Amino acid sequence: MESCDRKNSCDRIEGLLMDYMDGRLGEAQLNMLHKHMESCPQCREDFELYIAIQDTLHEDMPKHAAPEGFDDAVMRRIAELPDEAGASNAGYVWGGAAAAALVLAPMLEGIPVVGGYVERAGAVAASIAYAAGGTSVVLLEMLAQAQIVVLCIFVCLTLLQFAVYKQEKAW
Amino acid sequence: MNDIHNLSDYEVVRQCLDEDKEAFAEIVSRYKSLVYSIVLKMVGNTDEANDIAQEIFIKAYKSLSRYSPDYRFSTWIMRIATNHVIDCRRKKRSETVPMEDCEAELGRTAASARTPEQELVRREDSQAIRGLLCDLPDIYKIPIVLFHQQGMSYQEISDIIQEPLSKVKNRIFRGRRMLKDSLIKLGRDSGYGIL
Repeated sequence: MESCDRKNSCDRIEGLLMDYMDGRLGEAQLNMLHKHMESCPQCREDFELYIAIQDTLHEDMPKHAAPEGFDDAVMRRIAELPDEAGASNAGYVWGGAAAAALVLAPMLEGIPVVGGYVERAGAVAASIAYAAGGTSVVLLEMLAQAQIVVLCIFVCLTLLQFAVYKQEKAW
Repeated sequence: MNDIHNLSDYEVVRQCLDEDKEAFAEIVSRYKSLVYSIVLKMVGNTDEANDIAQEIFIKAYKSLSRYSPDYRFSTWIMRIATNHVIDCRRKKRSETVPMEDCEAELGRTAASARTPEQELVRREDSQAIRGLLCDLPDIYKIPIVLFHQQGMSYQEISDIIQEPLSKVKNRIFRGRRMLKDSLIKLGRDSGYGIL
């Protein structure tokens, strides 16, 4: 029972140690911490370890300077990027067009006709998306998801057409 | 004409978005040390840190149109940085950087790789701590590095890693405890006391 109380008390002290490391320990809590550590060698040892950890981490605080030529290297790589992959709002317009094409093209081509049309719609959308190339990872992810949707629609329509065909044959 | 050095981060971003690629050099100049230091602390290898930090700026450049001035630019770019480092490390997991390399690159000696006599020396404890920090899983290491080595607040870290404050606090708590427990274990395994 006593050891259980002790454990609860030590757990609470560990919380205080964390607050101490965060620099937000009031005077009363600080006194409680010191009082506990006087009678608990385990917590005293933990305290010293935590302080050693904190001191080491803080020693490394000064920023490391980026290597020489870092700026030039980044700007060179940016200059090599295709224009449409750059930081421009235009990418969103093209990306939006690609997404819209993916959704709308099958409808415009006529859904009941299974086969080449849907594939063509997908290809048109894909080429628009390619033109938007690299503008945004998010847009490309959207494109990939939209293509999966187109593929699912294609599979469903094929199955439907097959079912209709079987039905007609049965009649 | 406005001197670009006097513009706010958001104004520079707007300038980049208006097809002025060169304006991004100002962003690189302002944040290269911050990004590079964080990456170096995360990967522990100067060449790799250089490559990854460059990639982070390129990623930021490509995503500039998504930057919202609701956040500080430093928070936004640190979010890209931490996510990118995690991705890179995940890809490289199979070819994990040995702990000794990690420390050596930071200009220190690996306590665990040296003789037990050397490990006995009290001064080596901090080297051991650095080694253990290198080995800490990213989800704990990132908040610890941001808090203790970059002096960021819990709120800033929460904005960067996009997790609630309670989770940030918990991860820092657990990360510190893992460091402490590993330090005790290291002392026990080597047969010498730590501290």
